[in-house]
Amino acid sequence: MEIREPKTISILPLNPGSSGLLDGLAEYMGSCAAVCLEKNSHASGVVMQVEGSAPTPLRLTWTELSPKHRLTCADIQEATEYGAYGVAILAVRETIGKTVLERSAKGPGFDFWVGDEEDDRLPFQKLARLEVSGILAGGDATIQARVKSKWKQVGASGKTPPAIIAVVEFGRPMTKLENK
Amino acid sequence: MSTVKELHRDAMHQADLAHDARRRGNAEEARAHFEKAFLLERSAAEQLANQTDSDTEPSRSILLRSAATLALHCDQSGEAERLVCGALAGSPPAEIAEELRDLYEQINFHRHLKIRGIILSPEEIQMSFVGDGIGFGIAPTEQVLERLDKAQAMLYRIAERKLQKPYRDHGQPTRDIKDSVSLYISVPRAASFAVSLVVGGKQQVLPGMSTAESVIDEVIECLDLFVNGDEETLKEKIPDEAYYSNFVGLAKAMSPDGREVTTVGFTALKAGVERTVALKPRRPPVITVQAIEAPSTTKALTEQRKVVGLLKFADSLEHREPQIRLIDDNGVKHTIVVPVGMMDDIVRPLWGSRVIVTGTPHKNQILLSDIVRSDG
Repeated sequence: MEIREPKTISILPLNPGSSGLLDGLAEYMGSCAAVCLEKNSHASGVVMQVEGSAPTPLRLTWTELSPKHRLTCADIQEATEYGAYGVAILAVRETIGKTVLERSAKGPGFDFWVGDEEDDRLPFQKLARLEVSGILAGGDATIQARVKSKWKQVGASGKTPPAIIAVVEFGRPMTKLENK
Repeated sequence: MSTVKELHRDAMHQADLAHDARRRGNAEEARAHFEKAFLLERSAAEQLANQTDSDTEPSRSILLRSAATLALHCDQSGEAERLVCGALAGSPPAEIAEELRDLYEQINFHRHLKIRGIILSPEEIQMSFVGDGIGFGIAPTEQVLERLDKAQAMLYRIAERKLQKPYRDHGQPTRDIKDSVSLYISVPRAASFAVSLVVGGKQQVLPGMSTAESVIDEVIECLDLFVNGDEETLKEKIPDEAYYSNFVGLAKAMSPDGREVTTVGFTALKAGVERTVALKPRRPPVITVQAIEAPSTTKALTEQRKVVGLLKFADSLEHREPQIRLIDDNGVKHTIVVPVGMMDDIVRPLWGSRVIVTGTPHKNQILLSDIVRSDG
């Protein structure tokens, strides 16, 4: 059986690609992800399994966290949410080949839209919504319940925009990716 | 003229700057960027606003929803309402339409928080309730009275802390505290349901403003930190462990259940400016309190335990830390260690009730982090 060497990706610094994310926001997401991983006693270089249509192991690396990073990410609930966004953006790019192309303001933050290319004239055309959920540490049942709840939220109707669900769990760590 | 896409990109750039400023604690800078983001996103959305055919979807409804969200960040609930209604009047995809309706509810709550012609004095605070169980001007007594009781306890504790009195483990506040911050309730009014709490102040104890004003100011400020999960700043404001646990416990106890009550809001005036804070339904705790330091392992992070049962026994005398006992549905007794500051105002009123306890297992006990009355 072939053993696949995990591809190494950096979560801090986090490359925002063509998402238009400000460096500051990308750095915040990356710091949050690193803080959540370290809270679970992981060190830079930990391997995260991405489960979905194309299971892929990814080696996550990050630069040393400073007290400032930890202070900025002190709200662990927000850190879990933003960290999950950072990891999901990278996981989707590395495993499905889709890039975040658009964002819109939603709730206290943003929602993200991914695709290969979009309409030249209007934003969000031909794009899929990236629905992300973060879990600081949880078992299979928690992850599955989160995936189910996200699908319920997205809706099964054909009239809704396509969506990619990403549930990021920092305990193992692992990311579950599903799309419709 | 800039294109829809250019305007939207510029709006998101400004929104990024706003969030960045907010994280750095610069509220003024954040507000300025949010206003720019809102104006840009509204311009982008308005270029599509009159094109209600489905060809422009989902761009049209997402841009209008995004602009409405930014309007709320700028406290422009009227604008947010107009944009959401415009989006719903088109052909939004089902999922976006659902989100627009949720946003509309949120905007409505902002409207309920407004004092609507009532003139609040600096020594008054409005408490509003919204939810399926709350009618227009009518509300179940249990839902309201329990929370009013907690609000009263919070006012007394804040007054005692600001007057640098040591944390009171049991008994009533002293007469001077009661005189300074006794609570008087106005006639309830429809908003969906709101009352003004008049904080009676006979004495000018604290410099600069009356005790009542100072306490109201602290209530709004600390609840705002609690709602935003800013544990660090909240701990800086309330360094005493007992007062801190007590505040967090009372804030949780006043928080909506998400069913009968979906939002509990507070509105007060400071120097003529309206300040509001809305407690959201309970979710996995943002800020928790623990009786003793739990071991910092992955296991401790994952294993929050929930027990439902009858709160039957309390024993604060024989042990170093106050304990309560819970009998679950199988007749099993659980010993719960109560953090300092939580027994008198939060746990004691629940004695004899069926409760849900959440906490961290430690040896044969559970270290309490949250306790609520159970409906079942």
